Amino acid sequence: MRRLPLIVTVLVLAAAGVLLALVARREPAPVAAPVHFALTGHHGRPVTEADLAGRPVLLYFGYTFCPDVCPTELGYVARVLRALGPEAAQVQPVMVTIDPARDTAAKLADYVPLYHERLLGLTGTPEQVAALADQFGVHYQRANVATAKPGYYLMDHTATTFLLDRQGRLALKIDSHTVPVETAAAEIRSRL
Amino acid sequence: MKTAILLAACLSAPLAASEAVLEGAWARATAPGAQAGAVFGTLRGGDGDDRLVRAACAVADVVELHTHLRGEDGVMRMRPVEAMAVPAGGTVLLKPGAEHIMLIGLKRALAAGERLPLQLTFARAGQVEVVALVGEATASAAPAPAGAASGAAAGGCCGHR
Repeated sequence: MRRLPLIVTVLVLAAAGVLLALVARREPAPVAAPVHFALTGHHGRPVTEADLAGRPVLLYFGYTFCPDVCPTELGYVARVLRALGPEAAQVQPVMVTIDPARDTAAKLADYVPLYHERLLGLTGTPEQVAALADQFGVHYQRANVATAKPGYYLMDHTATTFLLDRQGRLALKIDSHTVPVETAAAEIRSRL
Repeated sequence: MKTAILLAACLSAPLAASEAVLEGAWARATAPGAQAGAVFGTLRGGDGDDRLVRAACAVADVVELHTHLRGEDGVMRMRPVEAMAVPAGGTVLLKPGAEHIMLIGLKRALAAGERLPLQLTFARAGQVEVVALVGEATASAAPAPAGAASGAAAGGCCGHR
């Protein structure tokens, strides 16, 4: 009988933990301050936050060797922009590579137009890319598995799309796995 | 006319088939110089339990069977799998963000509208020829087959050797 209260306490604590975890995941942090970065655009020219200032940005971290998740996410972004209608023109879609070793500006230049005519591809040194990814809590690393083709590798990476407001601050995290295109468009519209 | 006959053959095939097949195979267009692509569709089981053990495609150096593991942290981890189980009479959906057939080392870009032949090897059904329809780069589902009535299965025309 004396055990019962302990079990109840454990259950209550566990429930509280789950709730906390859920709340924590809904939080739009970690970026509270405007983002800052120095990268290179797919056109080969330097790009910093100043070049995007005044425009809301839809930001995705991916890589061109990615055969599935990145085209899926970029297709989602393209559909969200279409659903935004004329207001989409205000929004700058951006893909930052988390595989700068392979994704040169030239490689990105071949890649980005296929997904959206205004998609901006960004690359840089590993340090420059990490500096931006860290501001969003985006994780990535070379996958610890061999593919059948020597020299080829996969990347594990956070597959979330971020909306930045006109001041370059994180306004919304979008999980394409759970949020329908129309809902995402409405959420973005309310923040333009 | 040829297309009509082929289509008719395709559509009637599942009725007679008792072997595992990949139906409605499709892929996305890729960028010039892209090194990877993915093929999706529905694996449909035959009379007995089967496994997809190998895939090959002339435009890719290597073809692997992959799945995606989605971490609690939102991190996507793509991993090769030895085989894909195809239960008797069951279906396994190969779709974006999940199981797929990965083309590695593309010798050329995949263009929207093209038909891409693949050779699949099942443990039980043996080698099966499949044609994947290539859709737009941003496609989230199989493209409608050109000239086919709506509702018909896309691609995946099937012939056991």
